[in-house]
Amino acid sequence: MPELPEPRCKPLMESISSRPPPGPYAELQVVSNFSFLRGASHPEELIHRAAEAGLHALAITDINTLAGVVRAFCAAKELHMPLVVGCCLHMQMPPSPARHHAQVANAASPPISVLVYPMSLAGYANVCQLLTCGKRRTTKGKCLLTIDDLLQFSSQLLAIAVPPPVPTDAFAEVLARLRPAFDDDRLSLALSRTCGPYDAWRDRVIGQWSREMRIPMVAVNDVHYHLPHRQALQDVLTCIRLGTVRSQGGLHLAANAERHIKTPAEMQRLFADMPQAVHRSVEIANRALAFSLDQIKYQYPSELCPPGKTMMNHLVNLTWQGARQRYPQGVPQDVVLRLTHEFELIHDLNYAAYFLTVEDIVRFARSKGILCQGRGAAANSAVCYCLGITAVDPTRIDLLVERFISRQRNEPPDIDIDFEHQRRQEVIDYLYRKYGVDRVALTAEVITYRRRSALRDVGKALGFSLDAVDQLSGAADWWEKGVIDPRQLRELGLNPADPTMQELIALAKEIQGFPRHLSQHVGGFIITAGPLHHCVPVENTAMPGRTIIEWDKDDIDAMGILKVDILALGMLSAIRRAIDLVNQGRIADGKDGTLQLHTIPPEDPAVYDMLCRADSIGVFQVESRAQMTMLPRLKPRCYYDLVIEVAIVRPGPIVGDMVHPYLRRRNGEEPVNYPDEKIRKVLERTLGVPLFQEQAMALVMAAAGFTPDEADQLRRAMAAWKRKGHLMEKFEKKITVGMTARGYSPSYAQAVFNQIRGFGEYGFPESHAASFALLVYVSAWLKCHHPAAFCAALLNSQPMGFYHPAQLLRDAAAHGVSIQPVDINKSQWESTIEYPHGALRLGMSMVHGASRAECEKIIDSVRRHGPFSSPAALWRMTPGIRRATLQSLASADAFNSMGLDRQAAIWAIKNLRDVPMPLFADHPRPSDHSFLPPLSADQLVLHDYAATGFSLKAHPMSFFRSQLDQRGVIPNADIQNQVQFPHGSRVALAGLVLVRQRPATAKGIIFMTIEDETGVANLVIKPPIYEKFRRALRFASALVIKGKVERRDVVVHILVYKAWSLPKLFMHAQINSQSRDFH
Amino acid sequence: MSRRRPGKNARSPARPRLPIIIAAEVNRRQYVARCCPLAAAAGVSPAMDISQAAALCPQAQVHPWQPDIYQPAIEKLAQWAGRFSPRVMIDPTPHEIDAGFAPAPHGLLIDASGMEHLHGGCRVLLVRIQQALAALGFTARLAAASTIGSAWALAHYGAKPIAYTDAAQLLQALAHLPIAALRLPRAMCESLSTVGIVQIQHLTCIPRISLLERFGPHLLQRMDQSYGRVHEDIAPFTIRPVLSVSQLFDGPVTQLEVILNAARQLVHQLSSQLMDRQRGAETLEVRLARPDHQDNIKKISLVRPVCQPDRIWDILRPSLERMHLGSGVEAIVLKALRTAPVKPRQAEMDHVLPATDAAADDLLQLLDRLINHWGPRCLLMPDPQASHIPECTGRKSPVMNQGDSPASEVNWPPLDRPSILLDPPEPAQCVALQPDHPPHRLGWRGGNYAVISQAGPERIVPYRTLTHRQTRDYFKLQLEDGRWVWVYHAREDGRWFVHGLWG
Repeated sequence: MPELPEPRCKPLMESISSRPPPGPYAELQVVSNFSFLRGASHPEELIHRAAEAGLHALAITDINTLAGVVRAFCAAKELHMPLVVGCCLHMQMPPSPARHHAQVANAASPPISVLVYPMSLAGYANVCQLLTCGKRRTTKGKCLLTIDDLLQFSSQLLAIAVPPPVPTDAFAEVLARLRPAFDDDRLSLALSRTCGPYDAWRDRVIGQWSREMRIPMVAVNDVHYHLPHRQALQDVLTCIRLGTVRSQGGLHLAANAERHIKTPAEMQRLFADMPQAVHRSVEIANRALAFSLDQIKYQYPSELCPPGKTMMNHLVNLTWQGARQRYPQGVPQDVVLRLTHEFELIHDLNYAAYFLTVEDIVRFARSKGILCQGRGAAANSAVCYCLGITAVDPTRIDLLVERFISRQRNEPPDIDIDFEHQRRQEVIDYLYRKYGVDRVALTAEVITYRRRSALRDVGKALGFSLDAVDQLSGAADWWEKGVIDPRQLRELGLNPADPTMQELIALAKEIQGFPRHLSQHVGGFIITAGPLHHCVPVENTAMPGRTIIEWDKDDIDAMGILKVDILALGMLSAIRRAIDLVNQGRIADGKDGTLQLHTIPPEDPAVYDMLCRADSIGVFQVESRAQMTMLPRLKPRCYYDLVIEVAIVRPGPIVGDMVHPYLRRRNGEEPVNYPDEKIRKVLERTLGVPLFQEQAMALVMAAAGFTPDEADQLRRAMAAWKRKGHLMEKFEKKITVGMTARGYSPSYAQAVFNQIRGFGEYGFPESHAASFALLVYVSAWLKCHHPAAFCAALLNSQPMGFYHPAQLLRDAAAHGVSIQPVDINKSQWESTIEYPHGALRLGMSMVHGASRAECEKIIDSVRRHGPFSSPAALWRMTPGIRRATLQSLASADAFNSMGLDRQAAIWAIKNLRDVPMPLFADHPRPSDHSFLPPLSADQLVLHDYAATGFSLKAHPMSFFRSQLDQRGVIPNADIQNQVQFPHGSRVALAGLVLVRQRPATAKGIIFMTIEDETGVANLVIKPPIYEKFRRALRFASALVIKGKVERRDVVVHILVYKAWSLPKLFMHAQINSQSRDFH
Repeated sequence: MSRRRPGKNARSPARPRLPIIIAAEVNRRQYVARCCPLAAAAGVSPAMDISQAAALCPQAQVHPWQPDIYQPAIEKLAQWAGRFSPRVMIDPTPHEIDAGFAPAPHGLLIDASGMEHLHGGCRVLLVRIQQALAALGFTARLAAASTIGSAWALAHYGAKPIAYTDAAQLLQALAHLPIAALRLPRAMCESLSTVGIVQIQHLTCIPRISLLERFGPHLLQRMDQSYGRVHEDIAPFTIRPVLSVSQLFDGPVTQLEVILNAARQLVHQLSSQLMDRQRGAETLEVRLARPDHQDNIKKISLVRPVCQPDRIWDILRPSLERMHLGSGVEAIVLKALRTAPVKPRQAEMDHVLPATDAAADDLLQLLDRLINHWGPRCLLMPDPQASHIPECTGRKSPVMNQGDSPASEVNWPPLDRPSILLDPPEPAQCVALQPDHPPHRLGWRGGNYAVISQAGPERIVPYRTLTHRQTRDYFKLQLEDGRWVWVYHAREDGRWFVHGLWG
């Protein structure tokens, strides 16, 4: 009986209560969507449906992977649904001499598939090893297995051989080889009845094999999706996998929608003639259920402490050593108290090994001079400060480690370590060297379909042309609304009435969230005591020597496996470079060059003055436009203000509506009061407004009577709010009921819940904010006192941050830095500071198209021979550089020190000969570049932009100034004049578009920043205006706008009501590629 | 040169003119290949993504790029231009708007030297050509100059749609034009612009040796060609002849035999001409000229190009026999309007050809006869598709359009499908015990049969879009009279249909 398409799974509780009595059938062949582009249901959906259908057990047998089992395991645990862990092995046909030629001719012969299920932990280790072995011998994302591999790892495994759609003799041979290896009744033969074209024939052939080889048959249903209506999506997935269009999918598409989870009754009816096959499924499931993922136990590596010592002892010793260095005048009493308290906790929870692992990595980085900083839940402990993992002095910030490591929930602590982004590789190499390639691997990151990729792939499979798909996914403003605006679609050149269009949108929504492939996590490393591939399959990444496990971060959390996050942070690179440059300058001045991260003077009022002026371009975290609007309102005056500053401009606090109450209270416009002492204790630091994730958790514990365990569940639900929204509703009731029961008013309870739900959007933990705030201060200090070094460091660490080099340079110049252009005789590869004048000399890395290796040769040649006087001399003395490189440098006007402008330099370079003519080498013809046409100033600037993306000569807008003046367009700087342009006055402005943003929290409002030669202006565009002037606002690289001035404190916005794009002649020099749009 | 839709604005002035975009597809991506001035005014330009163009100009009509129509069209125009000068050439210079993916000839070079006085001067000639082109519906830019290069430059980059310059003013006329007007490749133009050379006058100030060293001889050659320092010639366009043979009678002939005999002679003549060129005729035209000028014309299409006289005669003869002779025929003209290359074959060795080839020939001959009897669109052939859906596997398409039939991409045994598929399926009355069980009796076409043997079900979901879903259970049944039929049970409404028969 085919079920009619039903709505998705029924809600959780209902499905359990209305479950039919458990029937004697277990589904053993099930692919989830972790068999990429084959399965059309999430593992969770499959488990829910299996529970609903009343199956005895459900196996997840993804093809050559265990990537989906942990998710299925978690869902199954929740529903008490028995889960069989399994895998479908796709193996190559064994090469046999008889078939050798046919094999060569038909390389793409269908793989042999065998389902395997571990019966014990040892069996599970075998599956992991088998998969690892198949994956490590080939490239990323592939798995190459043969029957021999399976035979090698066959112990403790149950197997079901799955005949191909059309039974072949080759498969019978495989059966004959498998039969003896699994001889103690561990092998079965799968029989599915999905009403296909060859069913009768298959039945006959498989039945015959079963009888002849005495292999029992087992009923399976080759499940690809939980409910039949997913067939439509499965068709699309097949087409995406084969790179074809649905109308041409032909026989690759399934004929029908039978491969869903069927009820035991239905299976019994289908297999009425062979009840033993149905019964066999239950038998196999029962034997396989002897293994459960619960049995996997993580073990810390053992080499973390010297032999003869316990981990805890070693940790205590190291910590006290560190404490004495941190506090040379003697460890303060409260730190001693905290340390002893933390030791107790770490000992009780057995986390010593974790802290030692992190300490080891940090120590290595320090020894190599790699700047690093820890952050995260456990990082702000006194232990971490003493071990040198963080630089946040526990006495400066009052954070109790217990808030992050609770005794009740026994989960691994969380420390992320940020390293300089260009040197992280060294740290990773160290890990592989120390623990060996078998014991270290990166966590996987499951790349899922997002809006863009979903629309693109589904669109292609449905036969839309690529540009239509691009257009649709690129301009998907309509997606959030959920409905398509026909007018907008027509504008994109698409027909909204087309049913295929409707289908595209429905299917794209459905495919959203489907895993597409495994990628590597940004830096989550797993280190184990024994070989990793006994615990989880390991596969190659695109980078040679780097390996990943198949599970992602959530899976690892669920399995209780330790993970160390080794992350790359561009700002750390910039800070290290800036400090190096400052030290070089100090040495040049004859002072000591010993500035270091922790010797930067704390709480410098000049730094806070600068931040209060929103003068923060380039400063870590607070350089975005939203932060720059916040700074003058929050007016940070101390370190903890920066912690709040970092955390407050996040979607969480914004959606939870916490920003304005906080600001009002801070400015004394609103009284700060607390319902009671308990809440005062939690919220006092942030004036009664929860701003940090930890506070949300503490709040529910204090006010709604949550246990720490429940609070932790809440945190997880918040993190996964987007994925499983219904969980939050469960907590809503619990919070409001819990709080009213404790005497809080229902309205207050609801307000608290809304704030907590806001964190689901993206809350920021205080522990992270504390570490980030430190870098905010350091980078602000550098910007304030050493603007040239800071700017050079930022330029050398590109790409990073929020601004383009052009803006960084303009900002530095505004702070009095003298900026020298790229010059072939004076520049290094990186930008440098020229002492003793302290001018910033741009490096050759700023030049588009200049190759580093060749530039280094030029620099080396200049060092050895001194400055060159002509391109020909440079060319003669520097072998191995290409003319194209010189031309790139010439385009950037880097030959000024030879007395050649851009044109003259290119003219000279074009005449360079590969083989110099010896006779004429010393008698060059008099320079003939004087015949070249002169260029106007604006052309020079445009050429600068084309070569480097900025110009030190003039701002492009300045060439339009006289025309703009005639039209009454004022310079951007003028709007700062409060008298001339008060709040509400109307102005016309013009500028290059720097940034276009549409924050998810702003209800479709677009923020743009435009810049002219006098400064920037911040534009606010409401959706109707955006729609009306879409062409200009979306595509133009330079704009003229009319708008209303909106002032709040010192922040000025322009509310736009009209917009035009600046004349086309402007777009020639690729300035249009400069703005950063909607990321 | 661009062409207006002929007479559009003349006939219906009230209707607004819509912009037109021609879209070419490269790697499943659609680009603007050409656009009309209206679309260009809206910001559309060649090589732009079509969707971007559609966003800029939503009301535009988008037509597909048909590369093969341009060459014949410009050839026709070149032929037409022969009225102004016998020396006409299709411009071989690639144009920058071709953008690498939609190349097409776009201009004509006419050598009018010595012809001007016939028209009253060069300027008058230009105006005449323009007017004549306008009458055909073309908007054209024209220029006349003493060299091909300078005329080209002025026509493509000059300020005015009609330009004339004499040798004395040549330097001045070209000075302000962009360097691309010298017919230089795009890469060289970009290279020149890096040193600020963007106009032709910039080049003329620079010593030749400096240019030669840096940009090679091609640049100098193009400059010299434009300024007339080296000679550049036109290779006149010659018309590819239509093969044609004819027979004139001495006065009107009314006897069919005479005409047939004459025609047969002509077929042999044409055939030997075709064979000499190793070509076969795809379309033939036979014309019986009548004294009353009501010529009787018949066109004949062939499925594959044919050159053998017997084959041609075989097709031609029935048509001739049916043609109206009226008061007599003065002449017969036989033309091969369209030809295509054929592989040469030795006629004497015909008997050793493999049998399959002969059979294929017979089939082609049959097809040729049928399409010329009923018309080319009336003859359908099965066009097998790899699909589970019976209606798709049994799809038929016109013989003339069929290329080689696609091979099934899945290497599976053929599906068990009936030899006759009923279209549409015929309703039947059946009784089955369970929804997916085969019926015991079948009532169909007025009869009622017991089912003696059956196989199935094979479940097929032929339509699976969101709005339209159907599930069919197919059964292969043997009826009591021995026939095998293919029936299906529509699961949505419970109705039964007979969909095919094994014959």
